[in-house]
Amino acid sequence: MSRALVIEDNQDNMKLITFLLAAEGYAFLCAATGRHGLELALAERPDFVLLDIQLPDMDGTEVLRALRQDPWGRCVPIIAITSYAMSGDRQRLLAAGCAGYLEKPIDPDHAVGEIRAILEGSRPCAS
Amino acid sequence: MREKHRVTAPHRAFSRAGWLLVWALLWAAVGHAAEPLGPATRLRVGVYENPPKVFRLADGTYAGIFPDLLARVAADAGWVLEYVPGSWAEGLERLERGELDLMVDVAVSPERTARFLFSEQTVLVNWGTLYTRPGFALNSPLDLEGRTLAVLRGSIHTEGEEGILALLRKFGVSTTVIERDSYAAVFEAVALGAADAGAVNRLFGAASAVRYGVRETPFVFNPSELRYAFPSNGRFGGALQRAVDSRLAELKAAPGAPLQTLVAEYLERPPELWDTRPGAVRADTIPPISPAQRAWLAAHPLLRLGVDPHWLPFEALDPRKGHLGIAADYARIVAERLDVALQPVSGLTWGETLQAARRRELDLLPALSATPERAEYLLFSDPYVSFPVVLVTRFGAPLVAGLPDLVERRVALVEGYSIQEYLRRDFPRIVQVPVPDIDSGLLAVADGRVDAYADNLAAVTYAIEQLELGNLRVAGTTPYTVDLRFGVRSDWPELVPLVNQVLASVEPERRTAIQDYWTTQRPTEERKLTRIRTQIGWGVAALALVGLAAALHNQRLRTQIRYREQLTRALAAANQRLTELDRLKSMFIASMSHELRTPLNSIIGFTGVLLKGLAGPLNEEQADQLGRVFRAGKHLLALITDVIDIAKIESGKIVPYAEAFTLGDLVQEACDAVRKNAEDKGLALRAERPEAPIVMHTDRRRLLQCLLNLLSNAVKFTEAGSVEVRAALTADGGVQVAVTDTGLGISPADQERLFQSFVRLDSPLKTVVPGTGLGLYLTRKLAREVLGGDVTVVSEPGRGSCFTLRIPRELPVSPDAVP
Repeated sequence: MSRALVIEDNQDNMKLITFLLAAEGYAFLCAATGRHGLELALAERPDFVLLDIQLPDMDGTEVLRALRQDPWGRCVPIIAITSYAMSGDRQRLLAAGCAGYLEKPIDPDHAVGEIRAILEGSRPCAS
Repeated sequence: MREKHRVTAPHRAFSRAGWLLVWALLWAAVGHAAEPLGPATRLRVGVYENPPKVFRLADGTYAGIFPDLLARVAADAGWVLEYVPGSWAEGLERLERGELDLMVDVAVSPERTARFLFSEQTVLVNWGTLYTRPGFALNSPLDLEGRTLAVLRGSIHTEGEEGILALLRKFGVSTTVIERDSYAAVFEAVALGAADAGAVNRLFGAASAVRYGVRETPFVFNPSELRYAFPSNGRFGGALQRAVDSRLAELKAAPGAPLQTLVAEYLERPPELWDTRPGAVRADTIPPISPAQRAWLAAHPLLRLGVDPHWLPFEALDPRKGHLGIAADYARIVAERLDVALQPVSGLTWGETLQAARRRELDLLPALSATPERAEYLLFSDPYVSFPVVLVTRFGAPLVAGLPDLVERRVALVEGYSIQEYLRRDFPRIVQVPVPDIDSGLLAVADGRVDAYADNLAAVTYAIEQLELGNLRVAGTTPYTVDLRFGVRSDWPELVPLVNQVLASVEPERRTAIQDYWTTQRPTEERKLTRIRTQIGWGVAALALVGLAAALHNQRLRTQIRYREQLTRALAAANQRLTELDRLKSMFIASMSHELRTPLNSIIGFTGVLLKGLAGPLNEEQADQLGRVFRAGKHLLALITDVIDIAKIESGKIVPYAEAFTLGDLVQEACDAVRKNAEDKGLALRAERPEAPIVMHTDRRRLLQCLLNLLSNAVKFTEAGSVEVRAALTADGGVQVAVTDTGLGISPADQERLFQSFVRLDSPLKTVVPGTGLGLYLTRKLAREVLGGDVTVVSEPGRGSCFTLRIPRELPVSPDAVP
């Protein structure tokens, strides 16, 4: 069973995402701040990370960058959750090492499918 | 082999070297066969000093996150722990030689993974964080270009493979690096302005930032996982590591998360307590008072307090709230613990307060520094808080790095402050301009009446923010610090040791809480915004005043002055209101994006889940009604998105992003998006691709947004026939995309109003066509102000319409674009 770490400060979004993940048989860990997320990720090593880009304590891209510096975190697929991505956000996120991104509002019909597609498409990491 | 160890003690005559030899021979004989691990096994644990992770207690035992956790694991398994202290490097060497069974608090790295066995479970994650001096906004490492950074010499966060120096090299940032020998010295350098930023580990940073008045940035680096390390070929093989791991995993997962709780108990305390165990008994909070002292206090039950009425965060006298600030909090503790009453004397400036103290009309002054002049009439307690003295100048003023730059220049100082005395002694050629309080001093700098203002960092930061003086900055440092003490009238020497006893008894948590409360400022973003508005406000006010002066030139002097005073006041008031409104508007727009969309995302998301039947089956009526909620939510979201886009264009907040793509592909993407709606209405949707691919280099997403608006309008307002898209090069080297429909058409009068906001033309269609009324308004704004082109329409009622978007192939460079 694949295990996700969801880093998201909005409780509604957290519930929605984890509900959809659970419905598809994923296990998950939750973190409401970037720092807690970073800590959980490195300590618990989930199979992939769903990362909200707007977090209260630190920019999601900072979390992403910090994770990418870790020998383990270098390889874990990270999917960004963005609200209404502006032009350039996509490139910025992909350049920063995101495997892909989901745009809010989360579409229940497609969200998990998109996650799965991103995970399958993400390049395996030589570690 | 454990047996052999046990017989060591009776055979004292046998030399240590001899036993080592026997041990080594036995080791060789046994080879790598693992020893059994069981109750009463003695484990040799490498420890060093690094509170709160590991530290030695007075009784010689070890405490901290790692030892305490290990003690729990060992207690459950019945192991006996034997601590082997040493330096960090010695510990690792012993571990490698197998002289230790495990070592606490080791950061995992690829190089170490090759040398040691690590626990699978991570106890704690540490990382480096950058902190900045107030006023320096660090949003990305690139902001460090040309700046000075303080680092800890030899630290893994400094020199490690992912340390800050390597990181800066990776970003190609050239930064002046100054090395310090402790994290405290790094923060000191930042607080005193010797460095713009400092790199420390997160544990130290979180605990000490407030004390040094430095600001945390979102910039973190070099995260490291701290775990237990074991020798790679230890006497227990991998059994010890597995046993420790399985117990750690249980401690993480058990109800109440004991592992996490233990870590939090250590970390969530001020660093002064880091070398004690949480919950350990502290010294009695009531200072021991002798009978003679009690008698003295009984004879002096009321102390008259001399207060600086306007010196926050240290102290102030508020007509409603009374004595406020850091000093007031300490004064209250003194009153409580000595059981005396304090009576703040109001109505005096600071200068007058000192004169009153000289006349013995005041007994206790809770916030002042010791100076020789004051020592003539006051005695001083031990200092209880300390801040550096800094220089404040205007933005754009000549560089002032320190006091030598201010010789022969005018420096404002609060009358009676200790800095006056220091400057008279050390820099007699600096022209001192006495001011009654800190606000007057800062305003004098803002107005250009003086070159600088000198005061301590905490007071300056506080006042600049309160006054919203955007054109001021902390420019230079001085060799002075302000150590705040209690001043006691010199004929009452009995009171000094009493005050000192109380000050010494104040708990570190309480000290931190007081300082934290009075020095924590508002969030940076809000402050930045205020600052910008204030600067604009000052500019407008200045211009208005110049005009005013010219108009009144021929009036009688007295009238002129009176008018000017009145108008200046009116202008200042109006300006203040405008500034406030402008600030509110900008903040509203800035927060709108997130705040309005977030609840809608929940509405749309959860309705979607329910509609999909994921939370259980729905009956037909429920599905119908939820479908209405869902569509209404999506409509509202589209409306909000358009409003935000327009606001962003109007406030210049849209930053175009140029990328390369072919126009044909983009047209195709737009058509695909509306194809289903077109087919549902039985319309033919045709896209005519240009013969050769047209390569664009502009804002793809914004262009797509324009095309989608035009296409969805065409589909919406066409009941039969077709919608056609044609993309082509234009004569001037740009491109045009024409969207032609066979729909209703638009009358010439309506064509005028078409591109205005919230215009919905009367539709002869029976059904109300959904839309925001902003689509064309936004499309034209995007075309003109972002993409550098335009949208035009040609239409005839009853025959259909053709909307044409013409834009250059390259994104135009805005003249005021930020480099």
